[in-house]
Amino acid sequence: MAEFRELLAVVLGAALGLAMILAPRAALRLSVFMGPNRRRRGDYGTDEAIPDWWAWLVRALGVVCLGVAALIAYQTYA
Amino acid sequence: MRHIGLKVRMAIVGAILFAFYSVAVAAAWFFFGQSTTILGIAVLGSVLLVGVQYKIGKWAALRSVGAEDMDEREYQQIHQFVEKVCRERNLKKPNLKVASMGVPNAFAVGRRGNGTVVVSRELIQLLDRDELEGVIAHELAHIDNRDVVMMVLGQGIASVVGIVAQYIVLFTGDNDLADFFLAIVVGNLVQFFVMLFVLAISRYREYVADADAKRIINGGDPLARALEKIQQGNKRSQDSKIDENVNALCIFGEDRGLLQKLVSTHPPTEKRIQRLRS
Repeated sequence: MAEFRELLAVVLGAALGLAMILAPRAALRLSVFMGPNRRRRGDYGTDEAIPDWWAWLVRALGVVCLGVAALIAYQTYA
Repeated sequence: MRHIGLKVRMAIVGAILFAFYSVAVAAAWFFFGQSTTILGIAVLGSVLLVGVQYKIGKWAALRSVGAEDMDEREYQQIHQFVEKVCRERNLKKPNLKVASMGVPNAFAVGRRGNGTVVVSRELIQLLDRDELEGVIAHELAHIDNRDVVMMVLGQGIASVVGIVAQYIVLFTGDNDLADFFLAIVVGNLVQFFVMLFVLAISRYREYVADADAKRIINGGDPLARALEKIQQGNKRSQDSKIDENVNALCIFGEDRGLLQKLVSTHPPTEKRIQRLRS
């Protein structure tokens, strides 16, 4: 059972990390950090554009996520 | 009956959202002691979370754009139009505010009876009178249909479901690094998943508000023209932004395609224009 949770942590953590690296703006739009009122503040009829530095911050978190998943994989299976 | 197709889809997605919430509360009750106290904390916590999000969200939205009261003499036509629409729809006149946002925009916050519509000075300058009325009618429809409350509620449900999933993973594990990490990851993934449904509701609500605006101003063309004008402006500014960033960010450009559509609060502008003119 314990090994199953570790496997799940590695697989889901890697998936989340990759998603954050490849589609940081989509990840941010799905998160609670974009409140309902904030989302609607782009040009009229569009969502607010997400600044590049936010996207890079999410990518950095994605790298951290991949790193932790790799560490757990190493501790469990190496 | 108005918007029957949209209402059916809304009912389905709304029922799915409610099911997510019910499962989360039931799971919290099951995993954390099966007592009525836990049930009470879960329900009261959800209500508090949504209430705080609503209050803070409204205040922050107005503050962040520096919204000021719309002068009744300077913007007499807008005030008169809003009063006329509110009379017809039996709606309490919302507060009207104006702001310099740097982009043509308008948005509604609050609820029926205590709403606020903010219009940017850039939008007022850009649009003709009938186009501006189309945009304002759309925002009034959002207040009339309680769309802001609906979105806050949806996001609140996504948060609650994510938090419950996170704590269930955390408290059923061995409290080591893997469990702690798994809890965070599961909480986020579950919340992302629920948000997809919330955003789908938001896109439906946009079509409904467009249809209501079309009815209010007796035709969809003015709002369609407004959307076209704003879209053309967007395209020009996006082109220049892409030029600036093309060398540095070519590989990691804006997320596009189906994913972009799924995470948007608004449907594609072209589709909205097409429906407004149909």
